[in-house]
Amino acid sequence: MIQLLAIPILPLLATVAALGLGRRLPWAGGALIVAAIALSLIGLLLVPDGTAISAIWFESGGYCLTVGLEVAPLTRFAAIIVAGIALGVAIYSLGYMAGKPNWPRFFAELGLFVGAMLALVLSSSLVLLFAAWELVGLASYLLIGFHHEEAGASAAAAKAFLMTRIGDVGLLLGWLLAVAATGTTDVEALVGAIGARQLGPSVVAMIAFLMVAGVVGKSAQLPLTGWLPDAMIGPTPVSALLHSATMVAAGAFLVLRLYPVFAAVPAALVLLLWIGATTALVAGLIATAEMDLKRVLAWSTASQLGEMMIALGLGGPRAATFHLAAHAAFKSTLFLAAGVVQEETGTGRLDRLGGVVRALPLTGVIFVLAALALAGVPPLSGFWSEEAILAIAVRHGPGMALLLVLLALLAGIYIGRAAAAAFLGGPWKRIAGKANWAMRTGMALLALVTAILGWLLSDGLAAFLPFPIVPEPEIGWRLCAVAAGLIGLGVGAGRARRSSAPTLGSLPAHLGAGLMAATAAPARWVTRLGRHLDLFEAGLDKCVRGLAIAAEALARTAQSAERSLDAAAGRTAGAVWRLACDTERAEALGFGRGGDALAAGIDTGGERLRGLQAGRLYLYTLALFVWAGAALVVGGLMVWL
Amino acid sequence: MSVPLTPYLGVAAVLFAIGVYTVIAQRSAVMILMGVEVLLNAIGLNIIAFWRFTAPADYSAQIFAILVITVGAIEMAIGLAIVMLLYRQRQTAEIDSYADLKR
Amino acid sequence: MTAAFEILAFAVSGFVAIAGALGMTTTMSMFRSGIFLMASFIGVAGLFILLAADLIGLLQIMMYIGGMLVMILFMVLVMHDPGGAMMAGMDMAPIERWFSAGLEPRKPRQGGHGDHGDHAVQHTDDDGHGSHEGHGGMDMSMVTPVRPAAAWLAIVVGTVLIGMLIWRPAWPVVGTLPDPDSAARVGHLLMEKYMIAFEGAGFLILIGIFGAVLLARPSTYPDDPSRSAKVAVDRKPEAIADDRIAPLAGRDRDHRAGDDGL
Repeated sequence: MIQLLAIPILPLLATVAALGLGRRLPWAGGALIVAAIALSLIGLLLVPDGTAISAIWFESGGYCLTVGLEVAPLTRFAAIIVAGIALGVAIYSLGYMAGKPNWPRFFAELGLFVGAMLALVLSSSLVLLFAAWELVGLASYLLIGFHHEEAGASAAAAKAFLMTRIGDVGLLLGWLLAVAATGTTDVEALVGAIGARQLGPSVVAMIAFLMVAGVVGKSAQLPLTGWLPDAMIGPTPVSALLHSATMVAAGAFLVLRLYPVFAAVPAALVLLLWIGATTALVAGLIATAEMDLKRVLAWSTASQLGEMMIALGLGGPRAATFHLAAHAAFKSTLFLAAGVVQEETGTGRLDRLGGVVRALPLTGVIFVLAALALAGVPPLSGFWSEEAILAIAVRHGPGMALLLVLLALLAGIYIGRAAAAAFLGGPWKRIAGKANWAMRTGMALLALVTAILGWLLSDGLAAFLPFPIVPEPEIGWRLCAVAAGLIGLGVGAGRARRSSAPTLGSLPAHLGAGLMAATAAPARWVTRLGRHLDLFEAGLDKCVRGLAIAAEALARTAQSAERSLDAAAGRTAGAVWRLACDTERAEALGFGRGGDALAAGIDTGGERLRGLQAGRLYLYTLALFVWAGAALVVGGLMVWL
Repeated sequence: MSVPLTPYLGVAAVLFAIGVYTVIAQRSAVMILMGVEVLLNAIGLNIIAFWRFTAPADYSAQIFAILVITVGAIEMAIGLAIVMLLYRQRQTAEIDSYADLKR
Repeated sequence: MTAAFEILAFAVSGFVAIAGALGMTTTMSMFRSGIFLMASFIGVAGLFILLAADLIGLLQIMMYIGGMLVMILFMVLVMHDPGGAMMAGMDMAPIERWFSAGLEPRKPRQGGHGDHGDHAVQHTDDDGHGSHEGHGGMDMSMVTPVRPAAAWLAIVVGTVLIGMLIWRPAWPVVGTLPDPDSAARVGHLLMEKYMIAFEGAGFLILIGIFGAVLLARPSTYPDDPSRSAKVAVDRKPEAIADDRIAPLAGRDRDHRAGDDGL
């Protein structure tokens, strides 16, 4: 368990160490990375089959997101390939990057990639797979843009990142759909559910097609091929590890890992087949016209990946696995040799190179060895894998077999041209002498693997993989294929000795330019559309703004109207209130105070009258006499008058 | 008859005025009773004077005088008795103390 | 009688009557008032006799001086401050000062009179009582607040009456003399023509005597203790509430009570 957990963790820990104190470690932490990868490789070899570690990350509703690692035959095989190639490349990098600026960062990023890639291939959980997938993409971005000070490096990094991201969206939607369908991120659960036919066919088809998009993006298949040649601007070990052997093969690995999903959807396999066939053909043709050594190898990578897709589409996962491993070995060897050439001569242009084999004999031998493997010459590794694919194709029909033979011819032509143009011809005088033992060791290690992998694959791994064994094709087709490869080699080498011009005329060059333009055009269109959308959005914004302003003005008007109404109502209410108050006051004055005054008057009158009745006898007598006197006077006056 | 009627009537008028003053101005009930006696005296003098000068043959005037004197005596007796009683109860004879009904 | 004597007699009698009345009403001493009133009566009696009404004159002297004046003086002596000693120091009009001459002013609450010792206590009690009733010790005046009005009214009455007399001096005077033996004529009239009035007056006198005696009788007016004693005597005896029979249950007792009531 700990070993399993340590396999991806060790490179990541080495990354952290290289980042933190890389400048104080030997080879700027590179040795640490190499040691970590070696330990991971040993761990992979020692971990027993079926070891799995899984944990629930979190549960939400009916969904259970798990993270886990699993050592199954396929995953162990892929992980060994990754770790092995990474080990060789890392050793090579010790010499390649020595003394260059920022090399601790390089090793840190390399460790990050290796850890993430190991996690990817070992993952038993879709979410962990996706996270590792994105981490690998991030490492690719960082490594392509490692020389970000060079012109085009950051643009190429961004291009690679964005184009793979288009596919990643498909993968993301695919695994989310799978999670929605199964309720878990466990790969085995998904596979088991599909095997038990628990999911609807449309759901499975949707998952498969969405994941095809992810595969196409990561493996640089046809609509999304353009980023791979541009990615060659990165350091050569990066090209050898990421963009030929492992990362771009992650698309094929994904199909292999989830092969039951694709097998349940024949249409997805057919789609994969045609995508792969087109890509293989077109990329092979372009490779014959490419003038840069690494770009030739890049187009070749796309072409070989297309062959893997053909194998997968034809229902031969075993053959695809074989080819994945073989291609990883010989293509990374080719890249490492090309890197040596580029370092020693200072250029990668085929029309400037020539005769390098006399200055770098070991490199030349290794390059030629790997080129022969690529061309399918027995008994090298490429022969065995292409044999397996051919067998599948032959079973499918002669058309496919012919296509494969044609592809073998094309492969011979472009690699023969590249080898001849670079190594044969006039002697190359100016050698920088940068190649050291580390580069040679790594290169030789991978060359050895290239040489012997075929036997390993054909014998030891026969029962190793869970895929059905396909019988070998007829000898006729085998001979045809080998002959095609040899003829191609001869044609390419022969034409290249005379001139480094494209072997098959200018058509493939135009095709490549057209393809790049066709890749760039949608981007431009999208950019333009984006600008127009921006303008449209601005206009829309203005419209909405105007609407909002109008609505606000309307609201303000309504508010003011309401206010005036409110004020009018308030005034009316106030007037009514005042009227009521006046009425009440008038009532109080008229009735109340009038009544009060009347009562008070009566009261005071009563008080006065009461005062008359004061109990004062003298007042009574006084009044009596006054009255009597007055009566007498009045009476007298009346009598007298 | 060397003294005519008018001087008698004048004396009676002065007595009457003094009686009026006494009845109104005096506070003591006894004094008021005395004023009443003076008033009665003035009336009696008037009656007798008119009898003497205008109808000396008719002695009814003297009857009136006698009745006046009699009633005056009774009034004095009753009044003094009441005053005595009140004085015994109230310890005062001032008529403005007898204002119970007002309160 | 000669005319001169008659005029002299009239002047003396009229002066005595008027001066007596004036003195009666103006002096501060009630005792002097009584004496002045007696003088006034004598003057009026003299006028009656001058007017050939001998019987009335004698009646005047007997009734008023012999009866009523004694009664008045008796009353005056019972009253407090009959001598006007407390009034003597007060502000007085000149005529009052003249009629009150010789009175010795005395402060109130300085002890009783020497010759009316048993009234002294009553006198002090009166003062306290008076002050208690709100009259106050200062309001000891003999006269009412309307005395100026009374004086003016009296002057107006006198002036009007005398003015009328002077304004119309002529009267239907009969020159005949009355019968000197008027008493017999009056007696005949009383017993014949005015017998009802005479008897009524006599009855009135009787009633008046009774009433006066009844009113003046002491302790006929019941004071509170005696009244409550009479009420207590007249009250019915209370029912016996505390009998020794134990109370029974409600309904049974009620029945029994009803039976008892029946």
